[in-house]
Amino acid sequence: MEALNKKTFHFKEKNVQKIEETNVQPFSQFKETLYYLTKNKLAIVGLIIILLLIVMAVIGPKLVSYSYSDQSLLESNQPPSIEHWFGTDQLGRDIFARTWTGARISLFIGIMAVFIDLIVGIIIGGIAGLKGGKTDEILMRLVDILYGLPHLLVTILLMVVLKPGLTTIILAMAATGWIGIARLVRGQILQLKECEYVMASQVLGAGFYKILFKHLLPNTLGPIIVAMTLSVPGAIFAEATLSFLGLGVPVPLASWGTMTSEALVTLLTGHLWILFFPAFFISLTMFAFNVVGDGLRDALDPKMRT
Amino acid sequence: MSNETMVEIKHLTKEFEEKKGGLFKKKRQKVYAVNDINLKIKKGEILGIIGESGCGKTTTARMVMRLLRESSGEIWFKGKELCRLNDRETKKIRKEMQIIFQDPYDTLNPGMRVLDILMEPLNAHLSHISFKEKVNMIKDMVEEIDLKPADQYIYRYPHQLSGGQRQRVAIARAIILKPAFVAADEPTSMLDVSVRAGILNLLLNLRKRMGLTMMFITHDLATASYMCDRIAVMYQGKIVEIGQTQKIIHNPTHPYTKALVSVVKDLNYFIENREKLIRDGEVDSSQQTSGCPFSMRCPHEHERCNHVQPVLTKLSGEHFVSCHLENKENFKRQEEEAVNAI
Ligand SMILES: Nc1ncnc2c1ncn2[C@@H]1O[C@H](COP(=O)(O)OP(=O)(O)OP(=O)(O)O)[C@@H](O)[C@H]1O
Ligand SMILES: [Mg+2]
Repeated sequence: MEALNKKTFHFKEKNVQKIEETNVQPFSQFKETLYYLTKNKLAIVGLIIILLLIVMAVIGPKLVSYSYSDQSLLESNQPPSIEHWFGTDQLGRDIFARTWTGARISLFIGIMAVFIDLIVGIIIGGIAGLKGGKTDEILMRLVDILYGLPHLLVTILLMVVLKPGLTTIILAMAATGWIGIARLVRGQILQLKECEYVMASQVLGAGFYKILFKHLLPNTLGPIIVAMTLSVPGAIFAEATLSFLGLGVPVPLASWGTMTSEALVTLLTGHLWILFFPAFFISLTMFAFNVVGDGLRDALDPKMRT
Repeated sequence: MSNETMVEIKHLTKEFEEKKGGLFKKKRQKVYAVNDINLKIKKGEILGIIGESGCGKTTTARMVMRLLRESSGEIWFKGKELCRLNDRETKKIRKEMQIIFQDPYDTLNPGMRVLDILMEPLNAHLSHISFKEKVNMIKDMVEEIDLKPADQYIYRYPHQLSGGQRQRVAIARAIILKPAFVAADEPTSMLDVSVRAGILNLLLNLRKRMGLTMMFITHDLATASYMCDRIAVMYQGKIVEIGQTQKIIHNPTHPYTKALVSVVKDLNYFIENREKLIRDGEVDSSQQTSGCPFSMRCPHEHERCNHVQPVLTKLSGEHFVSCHLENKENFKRQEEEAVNAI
């Protein structure tokens, strides 16, 4: 073996003290997650896209002098230009203004629907998991039945019964959307309940709520956050589907879904930019949320860390 | 060791219901995880419970710790019947009895630092002392379980500790309230052999210093004989032999105990004589024989063993066994004596 060459040999990190300190330093689960999330380049791209979309949804409509509902038939079907950045549609409405007003509605629907799913899902799943026994059995059979019904049918029925509008769309989507979260939470809690640290806490004399808030909820949060990020694009897409069926937000309101469905005729007329912009932003949003969700899942799972 | 009794278990039974069969013809079958056991643990004593996987050791410990409701029977602790206490009384008694679990990777909440983990029992029972005092108590405790210097460990998360270190933290959590009685459920079975001795010695030291009474569960006779004053051998939810460690090791009487002991003494001997010592066979817990539970695998099986259940019977002093081969005659008379004396 070659002798150690003192001239070329050196410690990679000169300050040995520093190496030890970083080992000893306490770190938090939150920081750890953030660290691994930021190491994932695709997730960073996704995060930036989501941020930009939200910023544009807030300021976008104000950047141009047109409103989303201003019609000008003289200027219909204009391709993108300095005047109209994304062009105009069949009724001469500015697509840029409509796209970002639509972003507000689409993102609002996506986030609100998931938010309601989350609350209902956590409550139902939590009760089933914590109570167990008969309560669990009844709630889960109910979930099974709901799960068996075709979602779209339930949504459409609800929309027919209730009066049309944004709230109705959100409610109709949340009516079946909570099922997945409820199942997830129940499964997690059933598993955690058998964990030795939960039993240890019980033996130590911690009360029910202490155990719930100290042990059960924090350890359920990770998977819930992931499921949430992954279902936002699902909700946005579901809204688009409803728009195609003529059940989207009422005119003249614009969502990406209604814009896309109204623009379908352009496949025949050839004014493709009218279709392109809303469709592009739906895809972009879905991509961004999926990528961030994937990144979060990897970052939260110690086994995925290398 | 005094003669005062710390824990007494009387006719403790736990049955689980198992659903078997298809969609329409659901059969409910009872599985006896623990079947009418009687035990006494004296103050300051370490009683070992040994037996193969699935024989009901964990179930017993969990019932004593009130993590599981018993099907029937009584558990006496310091003159109180635990099965009849209400929630408030149970919480009070919990300050005095603790459990150490088996899996070092499951026993600590991954999202809590050692400091927070050890703070939990203090917050639950010592609400009157200040945070600073609690931190000092925790530091003392952490040094006592040989994680020195404490400052280096208390801010760590469980995944920054080795398996042995985690188990030490779990031990610290169990004894920080200075309980009188601790149940240890296979505390070393998932650890490296090299770490094992350290943990066992730590427990022995703690017992010496704090006068702990312990129920030590293991499936390893070598560990049991190192740790315990007395050993109870469990098989299929029943205690088949109980006595001082010396007696059990040097004079095993029940065929099952004999098989266990021979494994430790000489592995080769066991391999060569496998057939003679213990018959191979799947153990089916759901199958309740009217006779001796060990009869299906016992090499000495007699007609009587299939029909009559043997009872724990006195051999000498504190040494008891439940086997027809040993007490063919006067076991009727001794039977009652045994139940009263254990
Ligand atoms: N919740 C439960 N439901 C049904 N059966 C159970 C349940 N818990 C335990 N059992 C059964 O009770 C019996 C005893 O289990 P227990 O966990 O007490 O065994 P053990 O002696 O601790 O085994 P090990 O050495 O593997 O830890 C087993 O046959 C097991 O299948
Ligand atoms: Mg066990």
